[in-house]
Amino acid sequence: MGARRTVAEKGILRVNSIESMSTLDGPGVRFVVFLQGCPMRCKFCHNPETWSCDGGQLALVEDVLDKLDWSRRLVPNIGLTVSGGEPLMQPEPCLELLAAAKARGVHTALDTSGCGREDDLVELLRFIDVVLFDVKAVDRRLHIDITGTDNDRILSNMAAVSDRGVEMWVRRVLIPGVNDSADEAERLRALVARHRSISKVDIIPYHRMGVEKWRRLGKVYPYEDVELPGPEALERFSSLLDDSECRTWV
Amino acid sequence: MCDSRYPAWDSFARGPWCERIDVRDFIIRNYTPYEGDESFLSGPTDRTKRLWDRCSSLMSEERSRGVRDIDTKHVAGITAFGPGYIDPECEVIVGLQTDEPLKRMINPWGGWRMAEQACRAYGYEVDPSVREIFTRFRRTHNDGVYAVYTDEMRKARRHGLITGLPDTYGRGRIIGDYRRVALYGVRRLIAAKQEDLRELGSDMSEETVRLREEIFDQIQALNDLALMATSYGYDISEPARNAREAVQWLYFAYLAAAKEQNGAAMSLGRNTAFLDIYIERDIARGDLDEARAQELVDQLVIKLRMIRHLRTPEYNELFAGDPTWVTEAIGGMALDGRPLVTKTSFRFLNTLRTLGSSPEPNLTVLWSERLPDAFKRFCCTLSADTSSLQYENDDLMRPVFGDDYSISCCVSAMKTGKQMQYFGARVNLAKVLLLSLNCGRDEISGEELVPGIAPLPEGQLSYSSVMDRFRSAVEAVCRLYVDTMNCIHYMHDKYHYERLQMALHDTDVERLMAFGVAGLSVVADSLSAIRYGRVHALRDSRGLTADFINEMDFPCYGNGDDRVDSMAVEVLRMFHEALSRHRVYRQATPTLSVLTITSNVVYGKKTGATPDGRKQGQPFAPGANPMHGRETNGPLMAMKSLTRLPYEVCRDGISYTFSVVPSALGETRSDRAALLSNLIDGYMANGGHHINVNVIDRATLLDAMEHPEMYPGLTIRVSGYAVAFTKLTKEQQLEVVQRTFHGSLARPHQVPVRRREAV
Repeated sequence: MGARRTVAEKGILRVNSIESMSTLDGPGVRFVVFLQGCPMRCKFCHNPETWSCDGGQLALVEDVLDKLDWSRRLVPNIGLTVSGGEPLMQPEPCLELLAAAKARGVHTALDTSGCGREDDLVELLRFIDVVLFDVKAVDRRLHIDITGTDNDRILSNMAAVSDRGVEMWVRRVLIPGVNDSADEAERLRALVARHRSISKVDIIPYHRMGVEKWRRLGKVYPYEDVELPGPEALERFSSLLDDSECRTWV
Repeated sequence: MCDSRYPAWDSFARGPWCERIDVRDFIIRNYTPYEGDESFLSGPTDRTKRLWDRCSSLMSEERSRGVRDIDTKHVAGITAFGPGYIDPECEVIVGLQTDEPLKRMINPWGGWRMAEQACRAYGYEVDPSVREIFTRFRRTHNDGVYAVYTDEMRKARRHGLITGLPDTYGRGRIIGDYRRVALYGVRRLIAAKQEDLRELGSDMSEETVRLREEIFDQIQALNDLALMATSYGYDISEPARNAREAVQWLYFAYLAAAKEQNGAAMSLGRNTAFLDIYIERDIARGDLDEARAQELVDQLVIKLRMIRHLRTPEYNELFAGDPTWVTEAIGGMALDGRPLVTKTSFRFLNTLRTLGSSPEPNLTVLWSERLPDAFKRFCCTLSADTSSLQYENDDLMRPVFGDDYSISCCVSAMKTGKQMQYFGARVNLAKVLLLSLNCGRDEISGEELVPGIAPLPEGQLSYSSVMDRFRSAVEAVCRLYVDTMNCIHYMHDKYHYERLQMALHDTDVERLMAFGVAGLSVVADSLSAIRYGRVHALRDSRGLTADFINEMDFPCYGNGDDRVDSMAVEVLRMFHEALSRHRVYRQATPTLSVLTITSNVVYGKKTGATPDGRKQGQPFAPGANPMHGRETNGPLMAMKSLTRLPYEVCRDGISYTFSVVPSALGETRSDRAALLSNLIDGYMANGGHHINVNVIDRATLLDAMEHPEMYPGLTIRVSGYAVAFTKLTKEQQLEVVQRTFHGSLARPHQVPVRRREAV
């Protein structure tokens, strides 16, 4: 697994898109910057257009901050979430953006799959209130199958965040028949139990909104036949995670 | 004249309003602001429920036939029909436009053809004697206009360059101060008009003679109003003595206007603080309880929901259903810093619950940052539940219009009883741009609509040459537009004068002439494409632009990008300046709106391809909205573009429709209301003028298209008003579905991690 970087010059981000108001990407209302470039090739990815490291558009960090400042005028307590793609592929401009937001008193979140250099991540943590940590699979072989990469570095990065006591929300896209087994639930439960800074697990139902994008990019969508998880599936998987409360881990 | 003559005014604080007609002064001295929440509200009474059930079944009968009935013998007028009832046992407030609920009347004063065609469309034939009067003996407003229209005007109208002109029926938009009837009684209002007439003097200029005749007509209309009330057993020559009478008097006044005029938009005004004074006085006296207070408001609103005008099916197609724009403005702040929010503001909004959601009356919240939080929250909760409210910026309008203005139609403010408006629909701005690319010729027919536009150089479109020609085209179109409006309103004053509504205005009324533009985002994006992209026109054999190719990206309006937003601003300023250079009928002040109603679909249909990449026939965005799908940075950046548009040149209003899926606003109802309130605060504090709020899923709309019978009450906001979604045409429904809905992902299932502390 490489620790590639996307660009960039100082002060310039390679941005896929901006969503100025979201309530799904961190606590409260968020201003979300989706960065371009990702080292993983998840078969269920709903944003395959963010993979390439030379797509998207170059944007000055200060222009992104201008947009953030405007958004704060409309929603004063709005937070910043840096997402992707994989933000760890652009650590320097990301750091500038997050540091400037923090300096403004803005709540910050990093939405990452953890697939990047630990040094970079640790550096960013200084300016991050919460990490939204996407865990595609805990089982190593399953992870390779789904994403094309192993999860060794990802799991050690998670430990690095936990060691520094930065709050984490674990996020799991639940794909029926792929990463919803009892075994996978148990592994996830144990992982969550191990890292004390994890405050929440979000189970995100897999959806097929990315299919059309795959087609447009001339790619074959591998999960064409996978069913969508119903409320019961979500409930079942969640309950497997939730019995953690009675145990004590130190 | 006060105390002894009017026991009805007992316990009211006295002031100048006792000596002259001044409803605002009465309100300010007597109303009680309410800063609490909605917990005091009552549900509907049994009478109200029975009455509304009856109305609902009448309306479903109407839906299946188009109209329930038409009276083809009697011509519209205040006293043309005997009294009508829905269910006298249950009706607390009485009065119908005709002698039967939902029976429509013919109103040929505005135009014979519209009346006749509308009847025929529903299988009715107008009585021959009526036909003879209006085709042989009586000239209509429509006849008058066509007698004086120039060829140029007819051509501009036929090609949809200037559209939606009020030249075939009533112009509407005028709001009588209906409260005056309740506060003063008809006798006192007549006396005041007679005094005005005496004071006019003896200089018989054309203006004076016309005004004398108008006041004479106004007095007659007031007499007719009193006569109509008598037929229901009420004497409204004296002031209303209690809340029920105040509601009834006020409704009679509105009803009389709706019997006489069939204007597209007939607003009710701004009545909640006024009525609240009567309701609270009755409650204090022990004559009324909360249930009965809500009943009065519910029953008034039921009547407003039953207002109908006879339209052709084409009209209904254009405006999506059967809108009447009975707009009621609620809230705002008084100049003295107190909120004009009262318990009755809540009671009015509460009708969305007691009677269910509905497009009419067009409930419009006048928003100020300083409104009480509980009121803001209540409004936003209702918005998130019903998508039936619109919001307009009181902090922006109050400095211009004071604290007693109303909203006409969708977004047009005017001082109640002191300003009137000459309605002027709008110019298709995208067509104006295409004229400048086609030597002044229409891009579809090839006919020359404006002279003197030079051909463009070959090759890539150059921004400066296009702007030169665009400026000339705007100049020429504005001259034609003002002239056309002058003709229309001269004739409307002459042949279809709003006697009663103008009787409920000050005699020395201030006049506004409301011009408008449609297709602003198409034009801004087109200019941006020409400037920042590389646009070539593809021309057909006649040399007309058939399509455009563009090889480069360009910034689009709706992303807070100043490069293109500034172009939208420049276009509006240019248009307003061009309008202001011309002489306007009766020294009216020209104003401008950016509003399309639902006709953005029809305008698009009639407009060729544009340089922004929009293909021929594709809909425009509604009002001042960004084009569908081009606002790619989410709602806050879209709002930035909107707030750049200058209200000082768009005093007739800037309409923005914001559609968002419920989950995008938050997880719980109170989260959603809180964020919505936050957003509206921010939007308005930064200069936004108007916002329609739709909180709905696209999936719900798609399902409603498939199964309309399951969604009779599904209401959505369109540019400046609300419609029943299922009454839209297929094309309009599709356009709504294609609009940008902010947020579209499902919320995650959250598993909180609970830990027992390790020892």
